[in-house]
Amino acid sequence: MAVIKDFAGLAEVQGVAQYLLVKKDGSTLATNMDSPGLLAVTVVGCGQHCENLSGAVGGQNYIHLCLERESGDNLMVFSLGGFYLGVISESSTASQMVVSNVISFLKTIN
Amino acid sequence: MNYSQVIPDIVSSLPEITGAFLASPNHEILIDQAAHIFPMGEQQHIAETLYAVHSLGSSRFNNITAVQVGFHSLNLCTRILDDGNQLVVIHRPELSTSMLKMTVQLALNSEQGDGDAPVQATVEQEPVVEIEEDDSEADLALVEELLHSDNDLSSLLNAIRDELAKHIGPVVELVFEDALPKWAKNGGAAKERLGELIPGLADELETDADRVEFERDIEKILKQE
Repeated sequence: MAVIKDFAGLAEVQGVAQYLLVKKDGSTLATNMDSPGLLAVTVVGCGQHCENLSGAVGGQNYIHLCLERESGDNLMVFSLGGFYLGVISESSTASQMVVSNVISFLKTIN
Repeated sequence: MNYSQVIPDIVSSLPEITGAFLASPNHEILIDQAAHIFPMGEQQHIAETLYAVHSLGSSRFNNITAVQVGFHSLNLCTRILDDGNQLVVIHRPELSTSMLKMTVQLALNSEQGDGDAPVQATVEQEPVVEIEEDDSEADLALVEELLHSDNDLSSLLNAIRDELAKHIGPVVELVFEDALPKWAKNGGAAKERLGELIPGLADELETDADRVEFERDIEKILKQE
């Protein structure tokens, strides 16, 4: 079973610059950011919006969200049951690669 | 711009692109090439939701160029165009982001008749609410102390955790590591206060039936001790 300290391994995942694990109430459980508070609100808000899309796509749950930025350091939000995982990607790594790497990592700790 | 040509061009450009539609700034569907994918009326809901995500992201970052949401069998990608309209493209997950970006840009440029890239429209920003951060390291140490076999409460706490795991699976550790410190700090970790821990854990369950079953099973555990 995943424990919070397992998520520290995200910092070593290729393409992940920063991460934060938040509860749906916005409280941060794990992060390598100095001040994750405001981003936690964004992560939760974006995740909740995406969950509202489920009915439109045949009941599928969303897997990831990517807010693409000109600078390439994208914000990604993954749905983890009662939690959301926010990731800021490294601009040098393609977003699809980061998504794939993060999902592979999550499978290893579950 | 003549979107009635652009949207079909995008849809027909790659086999991985299965549909697209254009919504106005007030989310009215202007051109629809995705009616075969979604139940009637869902395009407007999708447009509104993706726009809200774009707005929320823009409240934090000022250079959002696109929003992409991935599902098991399809991805939704949206861009706010220079005239404020919203383009939504539906494609299979295997299509690379760079290929999609290039395809959309080519279709837009060919209709514009020049090489200028569309300019980001300004989107409304949602209010940002600041929240307090957790003292995660101290909390984790407290959890480890409470669950350690030397602690008198460890067997009961582990039994409660195992019961919760039956309902929520692998994330039980996360829930427990969040709830336990709050409970312990708010009145002390004592056997007679275990009943106060349970409602917070039960709140993590999705249905009333799950909550009732969980609380009933926990009651049995506490009575056995």
